[in-house]
Amino acid sequence: MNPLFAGLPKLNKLNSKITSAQTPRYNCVAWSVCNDLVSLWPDEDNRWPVGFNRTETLEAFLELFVGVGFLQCVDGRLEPGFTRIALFVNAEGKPSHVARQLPTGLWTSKLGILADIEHRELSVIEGKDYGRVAIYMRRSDANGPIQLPPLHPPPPLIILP
Amino acid sequence: MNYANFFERSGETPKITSYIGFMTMKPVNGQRVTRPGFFDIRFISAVDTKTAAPLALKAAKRNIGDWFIALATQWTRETGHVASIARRRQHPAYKNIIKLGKSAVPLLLDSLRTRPDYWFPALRELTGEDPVQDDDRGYYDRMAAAWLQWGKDRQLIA
Repeated sequence: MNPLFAGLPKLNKLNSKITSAQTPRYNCVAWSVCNDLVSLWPDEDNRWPVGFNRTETLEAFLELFVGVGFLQCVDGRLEPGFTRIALFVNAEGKPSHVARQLPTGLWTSKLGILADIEHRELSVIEGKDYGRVAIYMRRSDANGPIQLPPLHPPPPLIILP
Repeated sequence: MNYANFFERSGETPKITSYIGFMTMKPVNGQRVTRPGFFDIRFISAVDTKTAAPLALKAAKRNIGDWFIALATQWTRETGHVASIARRRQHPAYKNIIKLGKSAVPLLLDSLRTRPDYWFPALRELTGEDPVQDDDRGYYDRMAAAWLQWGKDRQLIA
């Protein structure tokens, strides 16, 4: 187990490779749509597209990915001309992680505020925190680079004294 | 303080009741003597933070910096891979950071520079303020810059 990823005990040097520096500047959702500039999550500290369901639910995540051109598919096999993503849900059924398939067939994951990794199997990050893959989606590369809809900051916070 | 000498002088035989984290020595007459914080800081990672929280607060008064670093390191190590901040906030280490109170604010601000992580909810919770502009949310560097400026304005950090 890599000590950097103590919360993902199945990860090791044989089944994964660190491919970036550790940074909190972007997260797995942003990385799944090829964005490394902003964190996307439907909470009070991150951005989410304007007018999209802003709740930490699978439906909200599906709405986001459908909004940028992904459609549900049955599995994560490599298919030339398509980019696949895998949505993970935890035991509570809440979205926990998104991984994106590279043209090589490997998967790339941004692990929270930690680093990006490449891994051959999605199962190496399944477990207590990420749960399991709930949905696969694919997007045709013929649609061009992913364009995020306008992002909106969260509503103003109400801070109690 | 040499605790062995302490008990020799008192004529009581200490009984070690806990070996992990905060060591509690119980003399035979039942008087409870607790000396948190004198053990090696490396052992903190083994602490059950739920049960140790009250003693952690006592230790924090002695050396809040070390205790904060231990909690912050634990939080990042055990939840850094989790994207949901709401879920990360449920971790005992995060809750214990909040229990440190406002004295943890300068340490949190410093952590924005030295151990980048999503310290913003903790800062909001402890200060009751939020200097981050809505347009900057989701952009870590801008959010951190807003909080660091807030801390400088109040002379909490250099």
